[in-house]
Amino acid sequence: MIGRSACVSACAGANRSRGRWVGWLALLALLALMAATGLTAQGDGASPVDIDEVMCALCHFEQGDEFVTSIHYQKGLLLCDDCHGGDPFAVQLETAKAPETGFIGKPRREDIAAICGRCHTGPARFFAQGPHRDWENDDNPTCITCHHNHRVFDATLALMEESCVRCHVSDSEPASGGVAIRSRLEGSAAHLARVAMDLDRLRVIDPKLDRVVPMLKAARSTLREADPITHALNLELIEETLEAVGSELAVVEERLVESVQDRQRRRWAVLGVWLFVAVNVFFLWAKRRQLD
Amino acid sequence: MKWHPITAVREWLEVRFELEPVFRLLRENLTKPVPPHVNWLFTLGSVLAALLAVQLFTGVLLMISYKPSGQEAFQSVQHITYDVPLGWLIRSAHNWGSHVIVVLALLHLARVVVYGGYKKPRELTWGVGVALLAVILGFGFTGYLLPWDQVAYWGTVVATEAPASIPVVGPLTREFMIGGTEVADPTLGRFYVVHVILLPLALLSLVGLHLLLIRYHGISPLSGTDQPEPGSEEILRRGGRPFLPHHVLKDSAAIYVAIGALMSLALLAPPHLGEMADPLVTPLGIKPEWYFLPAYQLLKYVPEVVGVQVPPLVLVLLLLLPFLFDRSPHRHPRRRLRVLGALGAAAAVIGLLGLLGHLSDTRQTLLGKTYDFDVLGRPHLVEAAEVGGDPPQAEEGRGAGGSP
Repeated sequence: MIGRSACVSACAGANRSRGRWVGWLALLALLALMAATGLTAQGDGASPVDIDEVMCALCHFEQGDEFVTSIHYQKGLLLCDDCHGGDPFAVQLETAKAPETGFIGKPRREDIAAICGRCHTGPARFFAQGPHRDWENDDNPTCITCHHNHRVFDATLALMEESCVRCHVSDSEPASGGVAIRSRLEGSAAHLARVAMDLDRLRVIDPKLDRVVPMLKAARSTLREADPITHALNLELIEETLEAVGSELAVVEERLVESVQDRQRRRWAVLGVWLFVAVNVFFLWAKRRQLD
Repeated sequence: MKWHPITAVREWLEVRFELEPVFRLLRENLTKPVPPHVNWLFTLGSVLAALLAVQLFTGVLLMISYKPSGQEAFQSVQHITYDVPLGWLIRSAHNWGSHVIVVLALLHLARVVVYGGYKKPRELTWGVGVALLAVILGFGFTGYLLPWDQVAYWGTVVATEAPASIPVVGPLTREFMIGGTEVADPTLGRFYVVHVILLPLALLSLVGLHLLLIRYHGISPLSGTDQPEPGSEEILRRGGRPFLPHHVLKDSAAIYVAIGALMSLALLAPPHLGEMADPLVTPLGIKPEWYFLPAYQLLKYVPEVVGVQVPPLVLVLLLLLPFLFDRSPHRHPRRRLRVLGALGAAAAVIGLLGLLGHLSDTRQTLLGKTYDFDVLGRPHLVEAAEVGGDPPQAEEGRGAGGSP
């Protein structure tokens, strides 16, 4: 019996030890999986590559310093090779700039719109329809004139006004056009924000408004469609999209007004309920008094 | 003699059936006097019964449009909320009713404990009452899943994981409960059947038995169990009043007020419906209904295998209260201060666990200072600079607003 129990306990010990190894292996596998997921996710807007690993930045440190502040880097979207070609991780200069890596060095002025347009297809298409469409001409701006080449920030409406006056006198027709587009877009964005705030406030007490949320989302994505159109610098073109946003928001606002009216009706209903309760309780009380 | 419809029906029945003994029994029991100490607190049971009837009524109305399958449940609740005329109000009344009933059941239980109503000869009435509390909690547990939104789904996943930790029978119990290894379509089917058939049958039988026993024994006096209980005439002489019509009028007034309160809640704060259940996306801050929070929080402090057995144990201890813990002949609260103190302390611990469960994993501002409550409910002061940041886990629930 003793031998058997010793064997059982030894086997159990062995099992426990094997179990521990399996546990460690599972943990290692999990860590490896996490690391692998992290690596593959880099190109999909996840964590950026450490700039110290990018060999280009060793010599082009000024560009590297600017690039780390950009939205392209911070969202882990791009590295040097995406615009310049080459191999940013190669230690040897010859390998880094080898022709087979597609190294082009500094892009030519006429190629800039095409390079940016690889990802930003909408803005590139509308830019080609606008007054600055002859970007090969030195008098006209290219993408990087307004958005910068390495220090690319998230585009805002303020950028439009800042950029126009760099070349145009502030009260000139082109600069005023930029201001008009900006204020129109800002107006729509503010309108959307106001409606979103009202919806948030009213949704707490009216679950029926949950159904309005997709409508607001639709209006928001329509407004987003206006972003690339701004590159055509044509108010009429943007107007069409903003009118669509306006009518989508009007439907949402209509539902909000209905909700406010419904809320008022519900308040009256509560008052009615309590009047009914009060009358009945009074009669019950009177009956009780009568009995006593 | 003036014609009256009730008298006419009664006469019609009496000619055909031997009903006089039944009517006499009913009359005798319904007119039994209630003792003079019976106050408004003694209307809680009637209010509870009335609200359970409201739940049955609204539940039947919801069943007309509800579809108990993983593919259709969420859409059918959306249909009830958005399309069915007054569907939102019926759903809201049913939802709020479930909360109000638990509150009233606990208050009713507390009232019986304070007045020693569970003592001889009413131990069985008490036992049936405790069983009714379990049924009410069962309604809450099974009904929580039925909207089939994210909170419902993941709340049920968390709640059904705990029983699996019971040695030997645990995994099998869980599998039997949810109809497989994961909460899915079969779980919804099972919970639905339990919610709309088995529990209502149990509820109706137990409520019937409870009422029968209450009328049979009458309302408990304040005198000790070692003295003979006063008869009807004695109660009337001491200032008692007949149950019908005197106390029934009081009950009716309380029922009106309770239904008024329920309708106000249903009208002014209807419940939200979250996103449709998605077994692949776990939302943050999932918590059970407030009345399961003490059990939920307890599982964080003690091994799961122990914690999961505590709630049923509490119900068993409640059942055994008149047999094991409060065996003195006294009913008057002033003569049972030790027992009441111990029970009060136990209730305070349960309440504290519930509060910690509510606060855990949230950020709260108290007296002008902001605290992050960790998973165990411990507060951590948040520096002013960090206040704008995200809390450890954003609380998401059916009531959470916020446009995307």
